[in-house]
Amino acid sequence: MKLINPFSDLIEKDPDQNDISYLMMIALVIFMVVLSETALVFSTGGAFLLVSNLFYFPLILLNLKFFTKGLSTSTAIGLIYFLIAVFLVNFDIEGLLIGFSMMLTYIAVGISISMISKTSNESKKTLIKSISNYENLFEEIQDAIIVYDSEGLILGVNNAASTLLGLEKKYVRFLKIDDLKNFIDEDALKKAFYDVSLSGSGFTDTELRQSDGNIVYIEIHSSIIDSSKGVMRAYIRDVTDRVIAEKKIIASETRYRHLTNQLPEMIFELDIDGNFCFATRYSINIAGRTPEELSGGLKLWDVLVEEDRDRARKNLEWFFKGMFLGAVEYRVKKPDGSIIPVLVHFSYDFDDDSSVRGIKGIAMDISQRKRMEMALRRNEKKFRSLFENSNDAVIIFNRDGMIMDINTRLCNMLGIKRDEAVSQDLKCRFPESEWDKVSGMYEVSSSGGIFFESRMQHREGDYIDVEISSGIIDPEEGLYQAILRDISERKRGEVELAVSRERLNLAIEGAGVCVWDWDIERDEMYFEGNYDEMFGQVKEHTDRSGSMWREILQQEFYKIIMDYYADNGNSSSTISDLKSKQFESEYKFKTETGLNRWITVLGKVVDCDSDGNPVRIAGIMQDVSDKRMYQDALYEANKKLNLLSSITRHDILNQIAGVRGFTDILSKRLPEENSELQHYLDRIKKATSNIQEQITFTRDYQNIGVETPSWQNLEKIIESSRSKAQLRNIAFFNDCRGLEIYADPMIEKIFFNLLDNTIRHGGDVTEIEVKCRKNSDCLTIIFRDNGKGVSCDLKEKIFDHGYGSNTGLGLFLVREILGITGMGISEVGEPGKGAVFEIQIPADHAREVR
Amino acid sequence: MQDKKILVVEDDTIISELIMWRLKDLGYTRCSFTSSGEDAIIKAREESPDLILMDITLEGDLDGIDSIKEIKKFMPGVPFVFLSSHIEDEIIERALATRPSGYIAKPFEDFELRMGIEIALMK
Repeated sequence: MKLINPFSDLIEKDPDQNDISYLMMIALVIFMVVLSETALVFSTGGAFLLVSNLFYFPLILLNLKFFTKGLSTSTAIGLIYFLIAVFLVNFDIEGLLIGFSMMLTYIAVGISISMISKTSNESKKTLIKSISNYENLFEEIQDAIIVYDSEGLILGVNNAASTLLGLEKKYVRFLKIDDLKNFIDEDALKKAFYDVSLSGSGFTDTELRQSDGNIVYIEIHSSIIDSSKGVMRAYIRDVTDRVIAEKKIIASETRYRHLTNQLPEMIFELDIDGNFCFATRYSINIAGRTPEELSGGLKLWDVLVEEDRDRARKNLEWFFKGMFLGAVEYRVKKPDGSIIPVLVHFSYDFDDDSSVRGIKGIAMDISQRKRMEMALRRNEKKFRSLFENSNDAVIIFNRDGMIMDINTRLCNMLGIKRDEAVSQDLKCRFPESEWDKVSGMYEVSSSGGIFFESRMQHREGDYIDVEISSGIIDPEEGLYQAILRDISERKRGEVELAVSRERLNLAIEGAGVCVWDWDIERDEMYFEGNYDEMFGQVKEHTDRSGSMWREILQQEFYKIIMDYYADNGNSSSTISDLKSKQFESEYKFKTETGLNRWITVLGKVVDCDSDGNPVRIAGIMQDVSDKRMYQDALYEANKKLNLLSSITRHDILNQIAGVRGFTDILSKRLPEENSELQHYLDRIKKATSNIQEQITFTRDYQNIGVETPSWQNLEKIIESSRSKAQLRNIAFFNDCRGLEIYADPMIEKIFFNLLDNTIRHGGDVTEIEVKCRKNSDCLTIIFRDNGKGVSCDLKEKIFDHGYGSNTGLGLFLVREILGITGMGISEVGEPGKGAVFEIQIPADHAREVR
Repeated sequence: MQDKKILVVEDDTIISELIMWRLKDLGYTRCSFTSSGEDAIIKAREESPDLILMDITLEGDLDGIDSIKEIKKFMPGVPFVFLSSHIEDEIIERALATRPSGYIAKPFEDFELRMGIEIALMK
């Protein structure tokens, strides 16, 4: 079955048939016919006219049939007519002319007809060929084409459509558009095939399910072919590859966007007017903008600081003119006012037709770099300042030993100017003997450095001792730096120190002491001096590491310090006090030979940690065995003397008892009239009584200096003295509270004596007051009564031995007892207004009770 | 009172003579004396005195305080008065620990001796 040619009725006539040349030729022929016919009428009349016109029939028929031979055919007929006209009708000139004109007319008409016929025939052939071409094109075109009418009847499909639908053409021929629902979504079908009748053309892209189940993406372009017949045509293009490619592109684009959004660079696109078309999230965040702001016509320069905006506009202008910009720095100003420096690289954004449609830009936040640059500049400045203001001399030189720079300190040290030294050989500044060392400075590796002592030469020729620390500062450039310190003073100091050290050693040796230093934090202990001489024979002593002394110092002596620390609280003043206080303790040991050894340990807290705990203690140890032996002997002697004193006192008092007893007996037996003997007996009694008092007095003071001084509560001492004194109606006020004094245990006797003195010699005393006054130098105890006082001439005499109405020892011994611990006493009262005794106690012999 | 027996223990013969003279002067005729602690113990056991005047420093190994301690073992209620020139606190404390009836420090007056004796005898 032959398919209908969907184009056969649609081919238009060839427009060449209406060509003007044909029209002119026809006009000419008609003119010639009219002219010849007119001439024929006028010359021959109607019969010959009829005969003449009969020649047109064969002429037309022959030329229509044999249009390729129109000239010959027309010429033949014309000649026949000419011959007939000449020989049969009228053989004259007129006849010749008419015959000849008619012959020409026939030839013209014949040629015209043959030409028209030929042309018509060729047009037909061309048309047929064209239709064939159209058919071939229709079939062979890669797009599927469906021709259908307004009723939806499919008039024809090409091979591509058949292939696309997966159906044979012969089946498609009988389908209707609605039958394509199996392949194309109904809505898309309607839009693609039917809506075209309303708008004249239509376009739809949709999916097509092929008969084998494959899905292909298609575009349907539909249009009206013949509106009068309601014929429409739909091109269906398989765009699966393109759609897949587009999807891939979209996916790729999405991934690109996603990737760019993740990048810590600001990536953006501008149109040719500088408007933002796209910006990564990072860019938006950095610029402190919202996506809406960027898509709302924000321009590049809108996000920049005012000063950069013109430059940005001009840069874009130049860029679009083809100028290479490279990397450009701008400053982005965020809405909150903060400024971010960025480095922007621009590139063209080309359209599909390779025309520039905008700019792509990548901007990097260079805040960090700027800060680093700033820091670098600051560091450079600092380095320069450090270099110039350093207390140490600094010299910079290269690997060839050429001086590159020196600082002011070195200029001053060597007495030279900078320009004199720069570019000189480094060795020039050192004596030749030091050149090997100097060479070593620029032979060190990049990782190393050298430190040595050397000598440099001053401009005036003197040599300066220097300490040099050298190292490489720029391995690539081969630059080295040496820090030089003038150690002339130190050298002199070292010599002096050595001398001083020697003196100290001599002193330590001479004093027979051992110096110890305990670093508590590092648990290290050092002994120096006469350690072996001192402890060599001590049984428990093992070696010089001082294990025994470590225990003693770390336990017993340390405990003394910590007890003091605990007793006095953990205040800053206590820590200061602790560091200024010297602790002392004595320890007894037995030597290998059985002798007792006494060692005095003296120590001070040298350093404390932040909590005030001692971390370093140092001091000396001294063998005080001899001194201790003398002290023991002295103590024993004192005891013996006390015993002797006691026995003697006892015996004397015994004898005094005898003397007094028998004197009484004698006095009673003596006649009263013997007044002279009575008088002598009274003198004996008085003398005996004086002896008794003095002997008794020695009992009270026999222990002066026997017991060691100790800290005693002042208030309690005074109260105790008061309780023993017979104050009777005398009011007593004791204001000395919260104080301790370091004094001889006999101190209580002092106040008793002063009270007793007031009672005995003060006159009408009604009030006694004891109070204290403290200043930085000393504590003053003021003992005041409201008696008759002490006259000016007696203020010192009352402290003399033997002065007074009794033994004359009271105030004398008061001063002596106080003097044992460095205290003093004086009478400062105003005569007639009461006695005022002031006892001065050194500041370190008084403290507050804690 | 004057018929009371008084034992005087005193190592110093001058003092003992003086005391004896004074006792006699005060009317105490039944008096005896000794100079050592050991003898004092024997005499006390033999004579059972009504009062003992005891010095602290004595001849022999025992001093007055120790002697009194021994005597009190067999004469727990006998009154005794220390007569001593010892005025040291330590010795006085030792003496007072024996709970004496009195302590008369030498040198003493007649009055002091008389009052010491009478008070002791009254106890």
